[in-house]
Amino acid sequence: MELYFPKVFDSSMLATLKTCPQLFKKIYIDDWKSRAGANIHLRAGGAFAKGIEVVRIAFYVENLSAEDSVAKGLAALLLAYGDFEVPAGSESAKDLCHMAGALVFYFDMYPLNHETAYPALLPGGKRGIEFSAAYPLPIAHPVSGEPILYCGRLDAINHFAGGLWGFDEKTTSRMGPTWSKKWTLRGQLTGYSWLCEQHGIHLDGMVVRGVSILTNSYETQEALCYQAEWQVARWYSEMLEWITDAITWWKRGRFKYNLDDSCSNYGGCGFLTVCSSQNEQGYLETYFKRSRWNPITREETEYENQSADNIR
Amino acid sequence: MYSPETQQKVSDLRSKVAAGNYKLEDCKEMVRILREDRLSAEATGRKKGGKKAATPVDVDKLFSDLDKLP
Repeated sequence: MELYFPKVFDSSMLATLKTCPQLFKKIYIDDWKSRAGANIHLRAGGAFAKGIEVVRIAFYVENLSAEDSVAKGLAALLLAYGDFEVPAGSESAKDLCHMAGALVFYFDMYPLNHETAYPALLPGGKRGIEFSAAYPLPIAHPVSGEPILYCGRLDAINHFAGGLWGFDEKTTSRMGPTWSKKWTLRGQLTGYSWLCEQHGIHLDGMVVRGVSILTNSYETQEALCYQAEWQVARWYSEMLEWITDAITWWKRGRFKYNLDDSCSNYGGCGFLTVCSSQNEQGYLETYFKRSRWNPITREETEYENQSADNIR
Repeated sequence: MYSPETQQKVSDLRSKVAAGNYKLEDCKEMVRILREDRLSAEATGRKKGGKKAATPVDVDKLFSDLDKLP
């Protein structure tokens, strides 16, 4: 049997590891994913991100007009959303029409221009649109011995407020007056700053642009998150500890359960029923399927043989 | 916010895009319709005393707030 431990970590994997080590094991080592089908938030958010990416490329690289660029982005959003239908009875407003309208709303609120919040020209001559990066960590993979990688993808690296800022767009349902505070210490954003620094790009901070999608309206807010050097250093050293601990737990064959708030937050963990049973394997094989997440290509690949221990 | 006709038009455009059988003009028209529907809904909301429409970011105020930071 092939021994498997992830060779690449991203912010979602780290966040899961910190929330519940057992959840991390189930999702990213044993590769269990829900059979329930595409998640509305991921599908809608992915389509929205694709639309924005194409708009930016059309305007800033292909030099199309703003009107043509948004139109081209709309086509990309529609294609990315695909034939997904919001489940009946869902309260989510993230259906195809609302997501299409959200893209138009976004560029009405943040018009394309060359004066502010426009993609920077990066080393290598590419525009800072959908900047993807990976960097080796000083941690040896427990099987191959190669350095484990940390990777991430920023929506944009823009000239903004006299400096260089990473931009991340988020779609959500409701924001409220305290929405911006949830990003203050968010590891995903600090990780972006660290990754950019490793590639010779110094960010003054991160801008999170939230777009709230409701049945009868949209709203947007911007959160400015400064990333001081000491904060990035703290994030980095703790990340190394978390991954080193994960390797230790993997070698011992024992990943701890949270058994606390994260089991019930956000409507309940997807593995709540599994972890509530002494016969976890039975529930896993019935309600979950095996597929592996690749954080670099950002794709899930299903096991050809669902009864196999590891993907081929 | 969006009429059933608009929703159907979006769905139809999705099918055309997926089939590769669309023109940029179709998308530009759809952008116009989506914007119109949204602005109309915002105006209706204001008349009813509902929630204020979303406003663009005030960049000057943003810079001013940044200057006040320690």
